[in-house]
Amino acid sequence: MLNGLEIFLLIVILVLAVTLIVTILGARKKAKDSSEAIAQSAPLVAHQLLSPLSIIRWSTELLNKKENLTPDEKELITNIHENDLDLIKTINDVATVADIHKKPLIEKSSKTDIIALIHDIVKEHEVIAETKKLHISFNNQTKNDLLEIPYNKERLKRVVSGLLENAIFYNEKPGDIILALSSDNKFLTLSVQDTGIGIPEKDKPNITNKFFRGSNAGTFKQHSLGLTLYMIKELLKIAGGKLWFDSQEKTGSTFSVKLPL
Amino acid sequence: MTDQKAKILIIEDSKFLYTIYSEKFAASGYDVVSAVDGEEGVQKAKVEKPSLIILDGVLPKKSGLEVLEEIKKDPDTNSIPVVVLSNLDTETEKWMQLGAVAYLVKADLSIDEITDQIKKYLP
Repeated sequence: MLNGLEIFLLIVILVLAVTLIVTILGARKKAKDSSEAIAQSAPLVAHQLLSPLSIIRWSTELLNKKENLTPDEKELITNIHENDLDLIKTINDVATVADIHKKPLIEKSSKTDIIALIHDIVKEHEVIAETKKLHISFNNQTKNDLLEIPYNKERLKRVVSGLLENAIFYNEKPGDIILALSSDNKFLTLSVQDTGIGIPEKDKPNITNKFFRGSNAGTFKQHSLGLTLYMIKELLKIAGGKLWFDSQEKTGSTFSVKLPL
Repeated sequence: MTDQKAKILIIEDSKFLYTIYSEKFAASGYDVVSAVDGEEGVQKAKVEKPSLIILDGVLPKKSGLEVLEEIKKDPDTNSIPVVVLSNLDTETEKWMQLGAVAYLVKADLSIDEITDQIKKYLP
């Protein structure tokens, strides 16, 4: 039999337990509401930030074409331009991660020609690659000139651009970047091979983690948040695909993605 | 018969961007007319009958989406190709379903790439 004090303590514990559960549920709801609010506002915030950054991008492109610039002026303008491109990429990555579940990679209503998309992305990056004396090539092994897949074009673009930009930016010497696309009945496989700085052995287990940067990334892309590989990994996980890599420090890396068909 | 230049209507509230587009297209031999907000854009599409419309996604008075909807509903303007330029890259599908021929993300492309892509839709 419980005595009066024990009954009182039991009631106090029960009340505390109920209060705790209500508080936890409230906090979880608040957290959910807050992450939903972030997901909802991310595209608009990104738009507001990207608009002035695209103006800076185009202004520096125009300035760089002017004749009679001194080498110092040209270097300053190039610095502004490259930092602006870094910021654009970071904002795009943050916006993608913020609403990653809301807008998945696979979208049944879409028909995206992945081959045309890769050609466009390669073309968009040729100028910046040339400044680092890097040659980009695309080896299409699918035997198709046009390959439409039910993927959201902008999301797929983030995946391909993310891999290609890492191959360009984490590189200190002239070299090659080779994109290869192959297919079987169930999957498309895209690999991006580079002759860049590679990933140190100790960093390999963490390299696709959120906000992780390789210990040798130091001076390369100093403003990077370490989100690109995490973003790609998560987009593929939701789609039923996969990201993996093979890398040797100071020699280069090959990042590959498997895209379900 | 005289050669008539193809006309482009640029609906863009940023003076800087309008100047860039207009200089690029004027240099390539096109006639360029402008509208600085959504209302003026719809009106000029009817009056000017351009060969192509460049539409900013975010505009004062009427949003870019409303402008596109009105242009596509009006039999006088619905055959004019509309290229949308924006930085909101998550809404591509919506714009394409409403009848845009292309949706270009400004921050992702250089000026030359933007103008090259737009030229694909010009006569």
